[in-house]
Amino acid sequence: MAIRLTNTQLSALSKTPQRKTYTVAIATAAVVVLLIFFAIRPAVGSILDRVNENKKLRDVKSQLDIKYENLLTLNKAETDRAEQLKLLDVAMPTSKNEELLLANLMGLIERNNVDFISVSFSSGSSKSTLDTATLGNKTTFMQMTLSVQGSRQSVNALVADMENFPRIINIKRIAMTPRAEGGLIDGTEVKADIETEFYFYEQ
Amino acid sequence: MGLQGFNLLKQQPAPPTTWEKIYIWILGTARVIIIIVELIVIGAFVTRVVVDTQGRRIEKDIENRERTISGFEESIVRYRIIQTRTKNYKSIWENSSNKAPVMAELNSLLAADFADLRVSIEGDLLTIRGGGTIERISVLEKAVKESDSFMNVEAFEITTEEDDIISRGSFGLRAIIKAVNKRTETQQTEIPQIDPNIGLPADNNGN
Repeated sequence: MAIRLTNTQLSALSKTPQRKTYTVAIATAAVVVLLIFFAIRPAVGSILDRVNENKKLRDVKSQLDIKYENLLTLNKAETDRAEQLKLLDVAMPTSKNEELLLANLMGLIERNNVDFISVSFSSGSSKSTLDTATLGNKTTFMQMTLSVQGSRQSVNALVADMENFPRIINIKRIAMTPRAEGGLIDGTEVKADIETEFYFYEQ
Repeated sequence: MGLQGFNLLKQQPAPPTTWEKIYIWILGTARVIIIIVELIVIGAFVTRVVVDTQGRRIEKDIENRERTISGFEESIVRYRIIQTRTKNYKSIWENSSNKAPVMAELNSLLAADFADLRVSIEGDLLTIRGGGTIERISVLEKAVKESDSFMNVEAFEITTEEDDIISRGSFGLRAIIKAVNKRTETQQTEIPQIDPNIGLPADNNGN
């Protein structure tokens, strides 16, 4: 229904006894509108914003809690596995530490009743037999060539010990030839040249 | 003196005009709306206070947690290094050479009476050179071909020399070693038992 109010009607309305009530009614309607647009909306909006912000903060806190829990777990693991970590320091040292490797190698040579001929070390100028992904981050290799002589079985035992040694000795090449002198010509006594790689973590 | 009329019928109010309807609505429903709106505003205020308090408490918790974690800064660096070293060690161990079992098998195949025997293992390529009786050479070639450890077995540079009693010759044998870098489960357990899978929280670089 269309509201038609002429100036005369308005004028008449303003002169009626309910004039004050009409004014209050209009003011009330205005307040309702104002409250809805300028009070409820911003209030609810700001609450929702804060709720979202709190949610993000909770996520951050949850991540930090996980991080803290992980750190506690790692701390405990480090304490519990102190012995193994000591072994890791030897097995994957943070320096070349070829002296210790050589000392152990001499022990293996002696244990397997093989005669030591020579050993030489060189830094990895050539490419490693292992790819970069296998070597991993910051792991460097060195090359070592070991010459020994003894029976084929002894050399084989030495190779087995070397390959199972905690400080990884990766054998690239083995060349066995008849022992140079004093050996049997039938090939049971051999000279073995063993080209290897060993690794360390470069900090 | 005029006649004063009276009406016995019940008075019927005139139907409300549009303005009267609005007027009635404003005095009735709108007041209720205002009360509700005011209650909502009060509720919103209270909620805001609660939410603000919660937010401040979480911020404080985060601050405390960060302070605690910052005490681990040196340890985190150490843990990362240990984890990388362990991971690299495991990877290298699993991919490094395992030639000893093949050499042991080869030793069992090589007869003692071969002469000038030269054996070379480079990567997965096995090369044997030597001399012996033709019969021995044939036996060796057959054994290598039948072995599960070798494939693509190929004889080369075979020469023979006859004498009165037996036929001798020199030979070359080439083969590819299968699975030269595969370690058995038993061997894998010999590596130090350091669990590389303990998760470290990501650093700022996402590592």
